[in-house]
Amino acid sequence: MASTNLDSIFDASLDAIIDSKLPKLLLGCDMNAIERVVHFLRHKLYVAIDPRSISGTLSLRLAPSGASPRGTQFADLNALTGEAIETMALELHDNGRLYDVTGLFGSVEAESANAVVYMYANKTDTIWFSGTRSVIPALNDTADSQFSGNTFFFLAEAIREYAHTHALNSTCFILQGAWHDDGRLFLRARPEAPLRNSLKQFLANRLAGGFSVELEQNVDGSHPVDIRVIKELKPRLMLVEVKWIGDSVNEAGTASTVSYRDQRAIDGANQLATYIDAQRSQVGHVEIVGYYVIFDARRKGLKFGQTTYPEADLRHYRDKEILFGDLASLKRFDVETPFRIYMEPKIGVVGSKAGKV
Amino acid sequence: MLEAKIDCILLSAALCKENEQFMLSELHLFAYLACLVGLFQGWSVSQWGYAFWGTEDGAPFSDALQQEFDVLVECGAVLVTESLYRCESEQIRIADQLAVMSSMADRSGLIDASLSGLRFYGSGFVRNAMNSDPVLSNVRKAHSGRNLMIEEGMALLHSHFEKLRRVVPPGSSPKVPSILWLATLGEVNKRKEVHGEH
Repeated sequence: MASTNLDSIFDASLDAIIDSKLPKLLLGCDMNAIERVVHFLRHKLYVAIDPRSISGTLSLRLAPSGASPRGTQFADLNALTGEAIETMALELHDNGRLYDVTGLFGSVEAESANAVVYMYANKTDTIWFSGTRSVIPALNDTADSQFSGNTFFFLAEAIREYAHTHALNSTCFILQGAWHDDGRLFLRARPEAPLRNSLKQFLANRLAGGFSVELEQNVDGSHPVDIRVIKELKPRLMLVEVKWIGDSVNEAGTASTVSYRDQRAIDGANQLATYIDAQRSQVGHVEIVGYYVIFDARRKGLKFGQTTYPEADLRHYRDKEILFGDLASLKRFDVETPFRIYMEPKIGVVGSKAGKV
Repeated sequence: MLEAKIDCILLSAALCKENEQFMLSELHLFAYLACLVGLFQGWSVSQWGYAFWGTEDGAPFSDALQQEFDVLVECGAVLVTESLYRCESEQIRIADQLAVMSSMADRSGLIDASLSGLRFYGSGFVRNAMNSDPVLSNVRKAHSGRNLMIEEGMALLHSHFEKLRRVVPPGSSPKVPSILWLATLGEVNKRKEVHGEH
């Protein structure tokens, strides 16, 4: 990409932020109040609650200093973990106590007249102050709320979180581009790019600031690694190899031409081991660790053109581990236990999209 | 060096307060961001007191900061486990006292402003956003370590800051340009993804 193009991206980005409500919010509102709200969201509320469990609106009002409490005091936020939340209003007081004010909460314009009010609905964060609404720009696609999503200090933990929150139901927008059909039966032709880009974006945004996450550009037989994660000014290099198993269609989308199963996963493990050895001879005194990530899109009994399947067949591989056998490439001290990232089919859609499947 | 020593004490305590522990590169990253906020506020490079280098992979690094940090680790004020650092409670108390000293107000304000981006968006997001920082981007493209403060990107940085100053009046909290700058870099990253640029 030419630098002029990058310059224009930069200019457009700066204009977009300047024209957003963010400057007005930050300048007009007490920054300490905003930070108190965001700290509570990031370290307490969204630790206990997954934003995806909120189907309606969640409101959090920072009570003015000295305000009398109202509603019912929350003893333990963790009681909400795993619960489906439709609409809920909370009030946070100076002493750190939290009150459930659902039912007592007036119009957000009135509630925010003399206080900061945070609202979350439909994957959008808004902050109200003095009756004015400011939408927080959605810059981090790896979290439903810009204020959710903890920071990871270990790569393995981050990959496991990604598998559960982003890949299992293909909620990541980039990852959705890997599928051929809405029912998530067949992958598109050569789906490697969206798979690795999705994982890369998550790792880049969610690993702590001491990690640097880069896409490997030279992906071929001799350079199989997809993502490089460098920890702490390069004393540790983590090589992430991404492979997929399942069925994919041809470029025209008219037939299923590739069906990868366990052998494909085994081949990838051997490639990773070979590459780690090659890297070790090149980079010298740097600790190298291999991470092997396999996106698992296997379905039982797929036939291109068939529109209905027993649900049990579509989910047949959900709990079926890949059979690596006694593979030496995975028994090395410098290769982590592989990460199988299973991706669910979209059951309700399979039959209704008969033309595509 | 006094400035580096002060920043080390303030930043290590502040990072611990945010996430209980921190990584060494985060210390350098947020010190660099504090320096940028200082430049936005009209500080000169010499006022900041110490220089930053860009490593080959585009991360900011300061020798002076590292030397002072090593002292904190050697004397046991900062403890390390598997390359994750955390401060002793006494060290956090010292940092709190230092931060409220009137002679430190401007400097501790800039350090605090650099952390406001972490509080708002999280540490990983900040690191990822800073990949699009014009100065650090130039270093990464060159694949060689460079002094960040004399980089050609610095001129570009100042022109962007000039634009940002139009909406951030003088006397505003330094947290405002800190968050707006990171939001801009995050927006750049998002648009680069759309254009297929990584």
